[in-house]
Amino acid sequence: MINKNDTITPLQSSLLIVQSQVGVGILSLPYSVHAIAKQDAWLSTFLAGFIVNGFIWLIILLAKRFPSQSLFQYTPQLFGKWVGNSLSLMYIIYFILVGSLILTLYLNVIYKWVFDETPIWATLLLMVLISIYLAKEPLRVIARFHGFVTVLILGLIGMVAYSYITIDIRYILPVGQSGILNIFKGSKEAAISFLGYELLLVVFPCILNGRKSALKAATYANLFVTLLYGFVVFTSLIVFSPIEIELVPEPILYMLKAFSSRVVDRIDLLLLSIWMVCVTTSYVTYIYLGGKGIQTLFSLKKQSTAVIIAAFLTYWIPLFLQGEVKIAAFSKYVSNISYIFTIGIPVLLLLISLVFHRKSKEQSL
Amino acid sequence: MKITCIVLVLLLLAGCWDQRLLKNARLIYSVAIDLKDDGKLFSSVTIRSVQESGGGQGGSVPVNDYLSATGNTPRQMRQNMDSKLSGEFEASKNRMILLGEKLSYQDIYPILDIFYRDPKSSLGASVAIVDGKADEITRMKQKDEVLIGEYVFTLLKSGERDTYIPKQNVQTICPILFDPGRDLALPYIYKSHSEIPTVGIKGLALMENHQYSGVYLNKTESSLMLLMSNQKGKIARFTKKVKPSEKNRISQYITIDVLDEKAKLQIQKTASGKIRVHVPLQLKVEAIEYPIDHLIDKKTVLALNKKLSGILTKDANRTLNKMQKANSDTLGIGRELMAYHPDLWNKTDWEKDYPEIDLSAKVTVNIVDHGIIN
Repeated sequence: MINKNDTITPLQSSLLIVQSQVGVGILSLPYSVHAIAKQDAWLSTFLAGFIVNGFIWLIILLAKRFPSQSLFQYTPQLFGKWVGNSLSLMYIIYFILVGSLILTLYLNVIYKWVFDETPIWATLLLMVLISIYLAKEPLRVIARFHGFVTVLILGLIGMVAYSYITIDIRYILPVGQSGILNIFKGSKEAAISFLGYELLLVVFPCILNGRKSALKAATYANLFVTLLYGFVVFTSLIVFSPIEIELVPEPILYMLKAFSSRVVDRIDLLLLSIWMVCVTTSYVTYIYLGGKGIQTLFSLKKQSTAVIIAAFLTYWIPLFLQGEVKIAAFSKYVSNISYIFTIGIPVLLLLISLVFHRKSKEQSL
Repeated sequence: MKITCIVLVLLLLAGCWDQRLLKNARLIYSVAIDLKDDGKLFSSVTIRSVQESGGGQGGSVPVNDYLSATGNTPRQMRQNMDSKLSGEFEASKNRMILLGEKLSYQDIYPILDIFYRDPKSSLGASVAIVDGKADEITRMKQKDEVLIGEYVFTLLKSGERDTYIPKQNVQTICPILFDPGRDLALPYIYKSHSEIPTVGIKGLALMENHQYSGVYLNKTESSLMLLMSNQKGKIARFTKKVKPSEKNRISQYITIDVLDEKAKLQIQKTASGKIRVHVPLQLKVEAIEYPIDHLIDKKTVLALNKKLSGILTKDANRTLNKMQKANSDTLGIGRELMAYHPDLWNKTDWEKDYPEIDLSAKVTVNIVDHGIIN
């Protein structure tokens, strides 16, 4: 049922999840979480990682009941053709919306920081074209690429560590000053940066020996991302003083702008190019997921056609979303509906399949 | 399919929209900003350009041009300067921002705003306050064949090494500017009007919130302040009179290098509810000049330790006094209160209470080394 080229090892699935999670949000994560949880933003980030791990556990619990089918394949089985297919369609729209959000936020940063003269259609087209080039490949190729570029994250960590020259640990003291409620609210803000794990809904059947290894692989991936985000947020909090961080929407870039070494004058631009790769990988994941959905729903023969359609759909939204206010509204909208798709519907499906004892057929053999 | 794709991508990769050619750019290395009597700003820069020399050697000679403009805001001054200049006014390599003394009595953040806001600007530049007019330094154009901006920048760098001024740049001063529990100390430099004009470090200008308080620390006081906040550069050196009874003037003095410093802020609440802060500073030092010798004798060393501790404690307390008078909390005592004594912090109005707190220091000197002779 599953093409051999579409299977991935547990390690590859881990790295696939890492690269899908780490993306456009990392630059502004400290800023957006700090806006709510103030000096305890780092606690919120760790808490968010912990909660997300619960979501992952639930998704895998669901996926295990249909171990050889993707979400798009088992929803018709659970609900019948009409409801099932419209659910698939909703997921396709969700994946495309997240893809557009990634492009929009990416464009916003690129435009502000480096290419202010380049027309946005060109910046976008470059991103979309190379992403299609990767996303049309079998999952194994995508996972290998995602795994390969994970090395770059080490570079990112190294660069952020560079800013430890000027820190003041006292900025985060006393710990817990903003109160438990705000820490929880902050973790809601942080959770959007963890998006990407929902790829398990579609990709689970491709993981070799997935019933045993997928949970472990996904947990390790999420742990890594949590630690990375925690580190990044913690660092920004002790580099910038509390009032200053409210002025800097991309703290990670901003704090590196001040440093110059003998060889590289502007480390922030170097970080930006690593970040671009991270953005590309998450975007590739989403158009792959969207493409897979389109392929299954409309029974298309070729994956590449479906991926091109998905990418084409994501391309238009950023072109019409100009200005910080609109972008923030769109971002808020997507982050709100993401809870429905990453946890709401999966839990519903899980309950239904438990209550009606629906499992995929092979498993009962 | 593949070929079309590659051609398309290659065309897009040319990136001709955002190119900034060096040949069109007029790079500036330092900018001086002053406040004029009518309230407008006055800014001057030196720009290095290369001219073909007429000597037939084919070589080229660097020429330093002076350029100035007035305006209501820093951005407007740049605009005005650009209109007097062939090529683009390019500040992305700026190394030095010099503020005239009169200007620094105002809030300095609005002046720095464009440096923070522009993604192209270099946040690695240094900021200094000039005794008198900043423009006078720009007018020197160059010092010993070096462009004046670069000269002042290296001057400050060596000041950082000698623990006269803290290691800082436009970005690292920003957290302190926005921290209610800490104040800034900016390098205070001057131009001497002697026969051969030079630029030198006078000490540290103490900032009260966003503006210059009018009080500055001299070099000894600056070093002590930095040592008390554990910010020693590579070298911290003091020359002190320890033997006034000696006939030979040189022999009256000892010069020490600080090898290691250890300072702490001890915060207490007195019975009357007042905040008492004590700063014990322990210095391990090396004697690097002491003509009377005999630094092997335990008694001599102990006596010297005691004498030096006394002198430096007096200096340190004078430093703290000045800081309180200027209402400039450069040690970050307020931040310390916020972090470790939040109840105490909530009860104080730091702006008002800081000059009133009981602040004292005690320096303990320990000579541990004396070079290769006794």
